[in-house]
Amino acid sequence: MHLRNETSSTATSRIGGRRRHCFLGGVGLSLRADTAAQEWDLTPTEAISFITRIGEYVQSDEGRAAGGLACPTTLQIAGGEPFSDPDALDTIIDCALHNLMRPEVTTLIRWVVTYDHASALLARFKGKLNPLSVYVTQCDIDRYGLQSLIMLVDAAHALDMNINVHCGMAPGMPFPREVLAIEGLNARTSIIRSFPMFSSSDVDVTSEGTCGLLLPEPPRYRRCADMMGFLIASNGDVYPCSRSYGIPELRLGSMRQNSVSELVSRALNSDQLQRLSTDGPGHLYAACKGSEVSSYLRSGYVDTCDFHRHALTEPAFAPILARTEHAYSNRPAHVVGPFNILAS
Amino acid sequence: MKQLYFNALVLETVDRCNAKCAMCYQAAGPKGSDIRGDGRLSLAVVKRVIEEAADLEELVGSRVHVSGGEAFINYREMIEIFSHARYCGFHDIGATTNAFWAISRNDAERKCTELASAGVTYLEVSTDYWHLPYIDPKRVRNLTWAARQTGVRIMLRTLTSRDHHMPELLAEFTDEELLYVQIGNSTVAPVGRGKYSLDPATVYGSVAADACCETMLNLTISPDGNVYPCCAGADMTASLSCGNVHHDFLKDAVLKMRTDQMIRQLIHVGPSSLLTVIKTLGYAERLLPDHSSICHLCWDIFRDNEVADALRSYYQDRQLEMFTAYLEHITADEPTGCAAV
Repeated sequence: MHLRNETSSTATSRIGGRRRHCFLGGVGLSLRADTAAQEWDLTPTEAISFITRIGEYVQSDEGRAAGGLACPTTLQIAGGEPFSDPDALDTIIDCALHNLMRPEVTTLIRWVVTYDHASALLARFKGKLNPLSVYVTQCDIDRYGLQSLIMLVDAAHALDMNINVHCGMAPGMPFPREVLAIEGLNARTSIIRSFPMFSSSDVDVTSEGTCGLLLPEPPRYRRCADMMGFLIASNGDVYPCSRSYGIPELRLGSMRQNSVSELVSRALNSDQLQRLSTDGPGHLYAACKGSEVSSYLRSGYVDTCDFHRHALTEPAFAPILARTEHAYSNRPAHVVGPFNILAS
Repeated sequence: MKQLYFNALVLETVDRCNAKCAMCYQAAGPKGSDIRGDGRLSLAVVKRVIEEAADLEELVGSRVHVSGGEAFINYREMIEIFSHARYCGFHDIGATTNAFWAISRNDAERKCTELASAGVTYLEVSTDYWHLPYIDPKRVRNLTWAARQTGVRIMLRTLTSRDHHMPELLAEFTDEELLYVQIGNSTVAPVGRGKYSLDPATVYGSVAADACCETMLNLTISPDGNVYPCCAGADMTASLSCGNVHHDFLKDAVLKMRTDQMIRQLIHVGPSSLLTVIKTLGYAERLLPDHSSICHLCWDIFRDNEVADALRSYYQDRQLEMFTAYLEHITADEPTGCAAV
């Protein structure tokens, strides 16, 4: 073993070298654009094809050298209801594991009827799937009962599966505090996360009860780096984060038309995404605020993504963004599709 | 052979803490750790370790995490550490704190701004029943509020037992203060100071027989410079140290983790798999009857140097046998059939 004082020059020589991190944190696969229906839009065959291609890429010399995606990487499966077709989901998860991915599934509580049913379904994925993410709101609890969540938590824990609970909040829909009291979540290592299910356009700023949900300005230091991913929508389109679904300027391409190498290269070579990753969209806010159309800014934002989507969808800001950054100069006429927060 | 990888570099820069919580697994307090002493990593060493970590292939992702004790008692030094981590190319940078410094919303916002501009992207805030005598929960609320204003992610690190659950900690938090907050709950374990202060009847848990930690590892440097594969109890044992940054390269410590058969068994199969061997070696009575988690079990096994040495010898013998068998197969020009963990 080397002694440190013998080799200090070696250590010093590395000071100039910066760690190359994987730009796109993980892979997301949306089986359906919305979660209102349980069925999938994406066929299992196509999902497997996507995963296989990504797996081959990340394990290739080219993929390793590019540094776009990590290996192993996570695969977050969401959209529709993944558990509505357990056979297909099982095949997808096996494919992910074969390709050195760590599969995670996002689900809701509406399918949980009995403990035995939940347990039998989850048992198929024991040892393959960890953690399980469940999205829940106060409305879900009022409609399906807290017991559904308790049964899901207990069934997962009995199979040594960790469970992350994501609690949605909105004006008039408070944080579901009963969740905190669930014995299963207190008795095990567990993650509970609260997230907004609304944008600034949904908030009545004159209402004392809800205006505190908005920030006067988007957080200046919120960078996008930890939110960056390789997110595949159910139509094959690829976006760099879950909040950019449907925004043409941020679309990287399509798994149906482009190779994984092309898609990753576009992200890595995009000055726009690099700046969002390291700085966030704060420079765009500063430009909009200092412009002649600053009155179009809302009186507050939920977060930086809320502002960024507003800036990209409000026509009045188009010339400001184009002046600020070249990537925004060829804006398509309109933005399509709802954003799918469940894939985050 | 299974791949060893780490999610983060964890730098435990100091043993001292301004609090002296009854459950602290490090037994930290104002005079240092009751177990480990009053260690502290110098800024020069921390910077050097970060530079070495930047070159490690086993460190997936790009996360540097600073903890203690209470690392923020050396606030100015923390700013330098975060800045250096960012300079070295790490982009997910954070720390654990008990929020003692978030005296008011304005104070918290000013410091969060300074931290964020130095590269901090998240803070983990320890808050639980046992912190309450030392830290006013209002300071935690100040910090969660300020963090959202500045764009720093917050995770509340809560601990629970059979008689202390999450709602009692978060009852005073408004919805606005909880928005975007992540709560990472763990069960309290009778480790460190908790071994003497916690009523075993109130401690949750049973160890899952086949659980292992291979996906949860963090490359950890303790205040005395020792290098460990995790920061959840292994760092409070001497026997699991795989090197010391004052004498060794970080990559050599990682190489030891990759090639030490006992550590591979521990990481990839789990601490429960060691129990049969411990029983065979005649040390079963040295262990506690129950364990609250695999981390608790791991700590219980490796806190006892004699048990750890016996285990290491056993696995070194097995490793030698495997190697000998492998050589024989090579000599015979046949497939090895040697299924290493």
